[in-house]
Amino acid sequence: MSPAVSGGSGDLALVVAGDVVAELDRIFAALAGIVAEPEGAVADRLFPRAYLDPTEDAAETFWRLARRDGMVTDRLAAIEAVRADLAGATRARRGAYSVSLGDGSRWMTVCNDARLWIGTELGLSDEDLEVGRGDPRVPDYQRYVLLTAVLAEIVDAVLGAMPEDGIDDDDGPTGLLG
Amino acid sequence: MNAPGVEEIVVPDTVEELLGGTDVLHDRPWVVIVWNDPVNLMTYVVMVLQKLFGYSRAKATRLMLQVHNDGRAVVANGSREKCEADVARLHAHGLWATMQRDDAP
Repeated sequence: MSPAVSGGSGDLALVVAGDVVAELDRIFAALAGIVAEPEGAVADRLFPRAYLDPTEDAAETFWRLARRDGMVTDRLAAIEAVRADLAGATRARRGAYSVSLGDGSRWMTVCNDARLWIGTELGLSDEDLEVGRGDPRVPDYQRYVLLTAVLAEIVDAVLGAMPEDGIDDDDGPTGLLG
Repeated sequence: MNAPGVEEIVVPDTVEELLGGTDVLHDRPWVVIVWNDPVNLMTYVVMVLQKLFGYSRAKATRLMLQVHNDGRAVVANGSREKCEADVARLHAHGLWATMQRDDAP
C-alpha cells in the first residue's frame, strides 16, 4: 500500500503498512548515527558552508563554531521524536498502521535529511535515476523512493492547509542576482 | 578604568566586531542564496520558503522555479547577522543555502 497522510490543518496521521513502520525506524536509527558523525560528501550536504567566498573563512569558522553543535542537537532531537511517533503507531485497519505526525514539521525535516544522506550516497544527479535489477544500490534506492513518497504526502497535506497569501512586498528579494 | 600598565582585553561578541565592523561602517547588505540540488522536492522548497519567510505561494513558487531553472535564487537579504540566521534556518530544513555580499559577483 502507498503511504497516505490525513489530517489537513490539524494533527497529521500517516497510514502505512506495518513493515513500512519498521523500515522507517531502521532508516531513522541509521540517520541518527550519520548526523552525529557525518563524513565526506554527506557531511558537506547535511551541514553546508554558509560562506562560499574564501575571503570570508574567518566568518565561516565563527559561524560553524556558533551553530554546528546546535544544529546536530536539534536534528538528533527531531529524529528521536519521530522514532517515538513510530513506536506509538496504532493499528488502523487490516495490515495498516497509523502514525501520528503532529503538525508534520519534524517528519518533513527528518525524511528530508534521510533523503539528503541516501541521495548523496547514491550519487543522485537528477530525480530520474534508474537503478536496474541486480544493482547493489537497489536497497538504498528503494529506501529513497519510500522516503520520497512519505515526504511528498506530508508536504502536500501541509501545503494544502497553508494560506496562499503572504507578506510579500516590492522591496523584498526578487530572486535575481545582480 | 584600568590600573597603570594593565591593558584591557575586549573579546568580540559578534562576527561584526571580530571582523572590524566593516558592514556597519559601510552599510553593505548581504543576500541569502538557495542553490539547486537534485534531492529536494519542488513542493518542499515552496513550503519551506513560505514557512520561513512568510512569502505567498506565488512568490515562493517563483523563487523555487528560479532555483530549479537557473541554479540559484536570492531568497532573503539584510544584515550579516540576519542572513546568518536565515542560512541556519534553511540548512535546518535541508536546503543548500549560502550568503554573500549583495555586490559580490
